[in-house]
Amino acid sequence: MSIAGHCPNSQSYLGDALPFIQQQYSGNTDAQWHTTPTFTDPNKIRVTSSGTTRNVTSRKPLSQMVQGEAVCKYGTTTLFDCGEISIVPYDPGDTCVPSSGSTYVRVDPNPNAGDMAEGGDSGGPVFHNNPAKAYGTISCQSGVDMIFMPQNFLPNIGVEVDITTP
Amino acid sequence: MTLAQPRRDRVLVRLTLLILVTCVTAACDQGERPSNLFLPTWTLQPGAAAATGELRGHLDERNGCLFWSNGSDFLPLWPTALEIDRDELTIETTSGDVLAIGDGGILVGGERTLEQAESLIGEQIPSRCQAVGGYWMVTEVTMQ
Repeated sequence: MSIAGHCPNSQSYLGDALPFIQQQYSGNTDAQWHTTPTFTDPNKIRVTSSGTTRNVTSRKPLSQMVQGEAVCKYGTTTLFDCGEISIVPYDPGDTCVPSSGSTYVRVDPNPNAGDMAEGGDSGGPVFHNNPAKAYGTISCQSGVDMIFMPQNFLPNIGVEVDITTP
Repeated sequence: MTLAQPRRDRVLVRLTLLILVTCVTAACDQGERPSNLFLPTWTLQPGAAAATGELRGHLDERNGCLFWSNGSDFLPLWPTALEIDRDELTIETTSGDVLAIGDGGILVGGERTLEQAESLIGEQIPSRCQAVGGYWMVTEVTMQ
């Protein structure tokens, strides 16, 4: 299970501790991963507060993301919302990720949507469609916009997004 | 009613003593505050992006350092926009509540290494304030 690299290394799920394995919080990577010894973690994305999920069946790398493309996210605080890629690639600066470069993606919220990210949303999935194509994980907030790390940098910490063959 | 001169003098002496005692007590109280308080701060520029992690815990003070404790100690790196009372050791949260030593809450932001923290605040963190848990770049504070 992966979350943002800038999150605390001590994590739990429903009271079960999730052992920390590896992280990077600099440059093109803002991610860490933990094992889940007490349960099986399926490759599904939660999209509603009631627990509805979508299967993840494909991945999209930064090189294939384009301005104007629709993406959605699920954050613990702001829950489900969709927006549009406004800047790709994007350098979010040191207050988002130390020594960052132009390897991140900035997303504007759709009209009438709230903030795309707020405190507590870090590490939430960014995706599109159903079944879902994985785009990345939430890193930062800038005003109402969200900045996410493309999933193709997860191998820097030794993991990748698991997918189900459709 | 007017007081006779000797009695008026005695009252004045007592009042003076009372004021002195009050001042000494207040001074002692001030003396309990750390004289070498280290408050690392950084400036979030308008429009800049910032990490959206969460760190739950409570405010603690030791050796002139303000820690955020939750079983492990983190040293918060406070945004300059936040109101911090260095005498009372209180912090005004994003919603206007006042967080004091022992109060619990959530720090929004992201974890930093010692090197990243020192780069962010532009100065060295004294060894007495170096934290086992890590360093937390704070963007918002909310009370629990």
